[in-house]
Amino acid sequence: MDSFKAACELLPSTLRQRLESAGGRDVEEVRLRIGRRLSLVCNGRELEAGEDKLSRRELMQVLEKATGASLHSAAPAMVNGYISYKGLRIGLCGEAAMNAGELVGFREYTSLAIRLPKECRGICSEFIDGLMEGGLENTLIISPPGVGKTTLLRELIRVLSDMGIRVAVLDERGELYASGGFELGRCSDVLSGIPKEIGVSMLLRGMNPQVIAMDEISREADMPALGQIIGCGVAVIASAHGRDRQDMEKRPMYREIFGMGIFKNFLTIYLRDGRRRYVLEKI
Amino acid sequence: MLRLLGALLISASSLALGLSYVAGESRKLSILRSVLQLLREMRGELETRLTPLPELLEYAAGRCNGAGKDFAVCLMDSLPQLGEKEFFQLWDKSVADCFAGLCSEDGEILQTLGHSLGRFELDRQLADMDACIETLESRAAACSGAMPEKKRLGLGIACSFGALLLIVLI
Repeated sequence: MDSFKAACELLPSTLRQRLESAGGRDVEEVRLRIGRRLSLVCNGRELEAGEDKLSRRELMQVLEKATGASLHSAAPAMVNGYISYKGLRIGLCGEAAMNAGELVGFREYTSLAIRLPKECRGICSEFIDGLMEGGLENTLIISPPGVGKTTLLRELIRVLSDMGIRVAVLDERGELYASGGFELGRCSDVLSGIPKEIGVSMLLRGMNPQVIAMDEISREADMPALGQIIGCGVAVIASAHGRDRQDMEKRPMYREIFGMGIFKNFLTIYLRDGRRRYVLEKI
Repeated sequence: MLRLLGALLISASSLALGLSYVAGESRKLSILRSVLQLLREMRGELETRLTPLPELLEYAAGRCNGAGKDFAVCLMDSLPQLGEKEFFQLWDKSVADCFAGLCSEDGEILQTLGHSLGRFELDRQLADMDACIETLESRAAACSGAMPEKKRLGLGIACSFGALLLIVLI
């Protein structure tokens, strides 16, 4: 899938020209802020593109394109802070509209962050042998936001699946598979757009998986999903935000998960000087 | 003979003028009723299913007739321009293209709605739709109530004008 093309399609012509002239296939994020210049994140660094400042109208044009002028239909996804468009994740900021303590939409939008998913073949080669040594155990992929957890998880699913392992992919936000936009290997089955807790029991009952892969274990609400998999003889591969395992232990939820010994493998992604390093730690 | 022919032509054109005025008023009422049908269909669907606007327009177009249907189809056809133009601009253009028979006040009421649809939270959109429907309903009721009087007035003025012209010329 060409996420760069999808991002270009999403932008009005004035902004599209700036993105195209920046030209890069290295673009990881496009950031739009009212009153500021368009900026692009390439290899972890944010660079400004063009001279003109972004207007409210241009921001609304992007949002209307992304939602088919139907922000009300996107409201359930907005609760999580983003909407999706052709596999792109669009993060939202602005003045939230609340009703009875629940987010029902936004009154004003001030910033958008368009994340471009990527397919990076071959990034698992440096650790896959170590990961599979003694059989695949539960694995947690760790990195700060925007460093490449989802990209690594997607590639790991593809590699395992092509090795003949049945991988059930629980793609809650539709980013891993992107409606068929990404290749996930010959033995993968994808269940998308469903909360993890409900999806896990469906996959366990119906798909007889050897591995269940899911993106971003980040909320207490995700714990029951993990609890269902443990002890079923099915390995889980998940991802989570954090600098490294030690950093994550500062948070009670992860302290509990690590204390239970659920995960035996930790794959940490480090980004330095625009280069990514993958470190496998086996417990 | 020529005088008789002239008198007939003047009478016929005066009558046509009056009928055309009456037809214009009836068309306006018919457009208003069609718009109201469209808005009610859209409102019901929006409230129950949170339907995205492209689908909503397709649904409403399938259930409406006349100018309302033409409007929904016209707006649907223009939706690929989203991203270059804002939704309210497409809405405004479709109002201007399809509801040319409406008076400018009715057009403005509809255009105001276009600034809210698809942009705000559901409750606000529904409230704006309700306000628009209510205003247009009262205008349609007033238009319908005044129709017999307008018919009489239009035909009366046209016939009187024709008769006056005949007297002056003959």
